[in-house]
Amino acid sequence: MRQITLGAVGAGKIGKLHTENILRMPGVQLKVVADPYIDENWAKGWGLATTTDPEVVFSDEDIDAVLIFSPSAMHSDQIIAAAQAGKHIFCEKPMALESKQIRDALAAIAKAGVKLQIGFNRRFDPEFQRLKEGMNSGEVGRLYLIRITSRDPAPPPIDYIKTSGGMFLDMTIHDFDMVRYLSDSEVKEVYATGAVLVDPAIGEAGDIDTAITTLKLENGAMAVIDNSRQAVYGFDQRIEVFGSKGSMEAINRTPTQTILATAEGVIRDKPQKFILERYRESYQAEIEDFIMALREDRKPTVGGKDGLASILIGIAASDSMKTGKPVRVSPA
Amino acid sequence: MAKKRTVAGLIGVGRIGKMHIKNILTHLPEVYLKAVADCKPDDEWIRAHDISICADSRERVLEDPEIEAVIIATPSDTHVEMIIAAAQAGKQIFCEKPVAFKAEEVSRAIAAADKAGVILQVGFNRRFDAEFRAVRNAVRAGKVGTPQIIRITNRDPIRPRLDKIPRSGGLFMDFSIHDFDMLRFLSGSEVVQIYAMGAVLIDPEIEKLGDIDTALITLRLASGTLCVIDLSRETHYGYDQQVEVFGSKGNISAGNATPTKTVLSTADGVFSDKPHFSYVERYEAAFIGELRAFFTCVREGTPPLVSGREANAAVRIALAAQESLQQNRPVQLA
Repeated sequence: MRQITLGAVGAGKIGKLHTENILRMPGVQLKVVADPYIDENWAKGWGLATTTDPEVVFSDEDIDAVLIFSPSAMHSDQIIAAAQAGKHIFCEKPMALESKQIRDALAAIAKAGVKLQIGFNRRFDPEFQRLKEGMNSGEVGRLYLIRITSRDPAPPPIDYIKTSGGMFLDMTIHDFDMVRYLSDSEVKEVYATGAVLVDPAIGEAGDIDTAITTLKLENGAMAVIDNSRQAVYGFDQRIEVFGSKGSMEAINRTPTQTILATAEGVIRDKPQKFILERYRESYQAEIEDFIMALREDRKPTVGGKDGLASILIGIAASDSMKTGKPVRVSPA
Repeated sequence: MAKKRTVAGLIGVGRIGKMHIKNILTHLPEVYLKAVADCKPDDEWIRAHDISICADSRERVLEDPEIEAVIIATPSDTHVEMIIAAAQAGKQIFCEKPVAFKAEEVSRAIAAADKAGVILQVGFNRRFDAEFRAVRNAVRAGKVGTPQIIRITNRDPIRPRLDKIPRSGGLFMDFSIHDFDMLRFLSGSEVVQIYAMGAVLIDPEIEKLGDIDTALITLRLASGTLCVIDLSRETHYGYDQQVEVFGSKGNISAGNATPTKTVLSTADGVFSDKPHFSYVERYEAAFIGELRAFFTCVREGTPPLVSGREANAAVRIALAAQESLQQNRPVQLA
């Protein structure tokens, strides 16, 4: 098994999660982690070499691939820098906040001939993979509707929201990608309606916290996504595909499957708390798949086109909300 | 002294008319169904039931002075004229949904009932369903906090007969009218904006008849709540009827009711019942409940729980949905 040497840029919440997963993988060395605000205690605990300068990662000749876990607004510039240094790239979603940045990044990738995988981890979730299998095997028949409920347990800090690109690009982007993944179709048109119902401070920061987005797909089917930044009962992640032969649904996973029945009522577990619990397997699986793509020298499963297409849907959704009209999605 | 039974008549003996007849005969001993109109005198089904008069003319029902209340279950596009005729004959009226395809028409029916001083109750049976009532009660009691998202799934088991479609008023008027009413019932708020996207995905014949068979409708309520309704004319797995209200304190959902709650586990998998097959089974208790409530109003002279005003509001939403679909833009409601 060929040893793969990695470098990471960004060690915030998501960066730490990925880093810890990578450190458990055989045949993979994480040589250095760059972050201007690196958590030294955490790094020391994992025995990591650190730097505050991403250039150190890009210019290291031992490093085969760079993992980009930095804030969304920095993604495209770092993709370009890594590509120019001849590194393969794994980049967290969203790939950028504007389509021009993505197109520039894709051009740099093509020119350098390096691989790029985007962090749409939910494609690696066993529940949603089973839905996809239900689509592919014909169990569900011809697709009519996709219904996604995607609600976070609590809103992120306001400072995060300000640089997040807005709810559609930060949060719904996963759902847009899921619609493309499950349907095997592109999104033609979007209508989004949003509101600030959870916290007025989110509205003051120029964002929304609640939305319903309906989408028309190229294959004729339709999809609906409902989002909230705050479901007080946990991370609510449900998907249904409905077609000519029936319906298939992925319901929430819970920490345990117990049912407590007392005079007060029948009580089950709430959904798993948040991404670390709910998507643990998929975060690990997506990096493993990226490493396999490097070893086997094949195309990554989730590529730059997926990164771009989801952003274009997100931009159309934002436009739709602003103009109050359905908006055509620009072709990727 | 035994209570005097309310004497009733019914007009329109289609699928839903027969269901109402059966419910009265089986579950409402306080009602005497004297006459049924719009049926053939040799109708086997009617003759097998205990009804004194089976007439092909509705006048037979409307002109019978003994009949106090009528149930109108004729095709939707005849409802208004029926209501007006029944009101002029001084009958208390229960009318199936939709009352009409236009708001002015509904208003005309309401005015006729008001003028005659008779009750007009509309067949939004789902308001009498125990599941949805429990959801509404929980919402009203503040159990989920401020409602933020309401989600309704309304899917028929099998598409309607093609010959029924031209007179149905279309998917929004015929089918999602129930959901528009349900949103108002659950939220206690009014729809201020609507956007509908629809498609023909099940049967191209439906498109030739100018209708659609699949739709997603996004609505905004005066309260600020966002809502979505998904609609399909054909599931194959039963009548899919789900409602969910999500709010600042949590979520309440009413899943599908099934004939039994059994779970069969074998080497092939774990199997549970499909949802009830159709509205007849799923809403049996609600259909009985709405008629019982109607006859209580007739006896006690109280206003109906589902009045013409509710019908009017739902029709206006359905019209806005049609306009939105045709023009592919959101439509505001005053």
